[in-house]
Amino acid sequence: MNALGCNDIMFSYSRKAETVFSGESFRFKTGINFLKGYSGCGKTTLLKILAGYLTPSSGSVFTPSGHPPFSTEYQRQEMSFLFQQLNLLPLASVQRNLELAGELAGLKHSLIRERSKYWIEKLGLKPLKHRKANQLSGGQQQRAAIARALMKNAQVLLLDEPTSGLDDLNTRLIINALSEMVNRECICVICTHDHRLEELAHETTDFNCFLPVERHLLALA
Amino acid sequence: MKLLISIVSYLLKDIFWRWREQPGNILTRFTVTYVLVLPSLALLGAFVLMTNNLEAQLQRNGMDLFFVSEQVPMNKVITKKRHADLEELKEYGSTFELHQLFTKVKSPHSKITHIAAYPDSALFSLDDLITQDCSMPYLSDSLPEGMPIRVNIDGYFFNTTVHRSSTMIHKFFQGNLLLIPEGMLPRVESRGYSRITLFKAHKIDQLGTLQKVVTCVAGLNKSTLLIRSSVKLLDDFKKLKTRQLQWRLGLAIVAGAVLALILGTLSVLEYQQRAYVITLLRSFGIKRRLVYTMQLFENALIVNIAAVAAYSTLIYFQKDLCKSFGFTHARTTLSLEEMATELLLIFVCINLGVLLSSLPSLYVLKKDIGTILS
Repeated sequence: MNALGCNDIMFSYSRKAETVFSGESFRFKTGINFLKGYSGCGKTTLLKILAGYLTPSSGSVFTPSGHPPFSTEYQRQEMSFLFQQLNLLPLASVQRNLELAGELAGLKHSLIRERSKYWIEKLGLKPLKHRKANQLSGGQQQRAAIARALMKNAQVLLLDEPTSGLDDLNTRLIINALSEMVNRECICVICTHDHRLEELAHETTDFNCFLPVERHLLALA
Repeated sequence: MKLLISIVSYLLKDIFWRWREQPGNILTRFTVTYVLVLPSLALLGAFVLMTNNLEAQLQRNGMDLFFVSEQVPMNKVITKKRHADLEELKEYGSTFELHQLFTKVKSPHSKITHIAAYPDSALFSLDDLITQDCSMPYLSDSLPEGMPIRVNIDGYFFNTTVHRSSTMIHKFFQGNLLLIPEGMLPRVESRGYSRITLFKAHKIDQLGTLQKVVTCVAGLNKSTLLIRSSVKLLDDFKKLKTRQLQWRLGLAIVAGAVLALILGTLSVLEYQQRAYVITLLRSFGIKRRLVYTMQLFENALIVNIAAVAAYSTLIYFQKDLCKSFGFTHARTTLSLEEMATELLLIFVCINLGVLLSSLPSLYVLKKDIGTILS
């Protein structure tokens, strides 16, 4: 399987805003890749660039299949993204959220049913599967969002703070689910501050080493 | 294709659930459209009814008639045929002629009474006045209807009864009129008479042209025809109608533009929520064009249903509307044809409003997903 990454990317959110990346390159291989670093150092931005949700002003992004990151095929079938704010469809039930992810990925109906049942059970969402996303607690929503991200067996799994604010039990459920994904040979990029996930990492990228000294001081302050 | 059907099916379900869960937004858009379209259409409909009412009143007063009077001197009485120039008029409307005789009618109740002889051809038009029992009706607006009256014509006495004059005759003869069958007073008729042809056009728009043609032909034939009509009034009425139509269209455009602006403003107000939903759908890999089309479809569906509902309400209550404006003579129904231009304009404007309200969605679709979702 090919790698996921980017070459010499330059990015800033607006002309006046500070540059987030100025010519950096990253490469992620199969397994679980950690992105570590202070808040505001660009971890989430990198994930969004890899997902095709942000476009760098220069440089290139490559995906395992060779599809451009903003292509429909990549976003629907090959990549799953977990947002920090989860972004479940608020008025759809947990099951419907999962099924929709499968439908958009073009999976067969029977497969969608089978997988949604599997991940709902695996992440302890069975009693909640008919509840609407906006009726769930934070931890429940987080598990539902992860289940949705895992539904399509994507080649690329991009997770932004998947366990932030979760208790140990919920975190354990998520670690188990992610460990299973690793066995399926996907490229999983996780940005997190959570030390409980460190046991999972095959490779860690420390963003702090990219930061100039003054931003280090700013982050520490 | 299967995938597209699946996505569209989800989006439709999504629309349905959002409608159920958040009726505020849908109701707001529906209500705003309904509340603005209904009075606009009612106002425009009232203008249409006003025109119909005025037209009906003018027609009652003979706007669709003209009279041609021709002197038939003593030496030409023998030629009883109508003037050849007027024969062609039969194709364009109904005509009948009366011969106003030059003699005095004396009665104890009225000083001035005209006398006119009607030929057999006029019986069809006078069927409401002439009966087997009464072949000589005395037409009067001042005397009680049905009153027996004795008249003296040229030394001959006749008994008759009072009738109300018919609409067409009333336009020409002011005052009292005695109708007698042609040939009843041959001595009086042989002195000459004034042949009056009354013409009622099938299409009121043709009246002016027909009058011009009759005048022109009479001029060419050097006949002495005297024509009386309300063509000038008709011209003024047409101008009034044209001006009113312009105002109506202007009003329809203004109403539609206001509605379009309000719909646009509503969409700007709900920009945040819309931006989130659109971007969330896009983050699943749904194409921008599809998301935009569905947004347009949703909006167009709501406002068009609201506009149709407003129009249906107007049609349902149109009779009450007529009564409230005091229109009694006009037709009390507003046909789709009469309101077609205004309706079309309003529907065009509200759909422009739909397009206008989709501009924020276009702006959202242009932005990167990552700048909206975090």
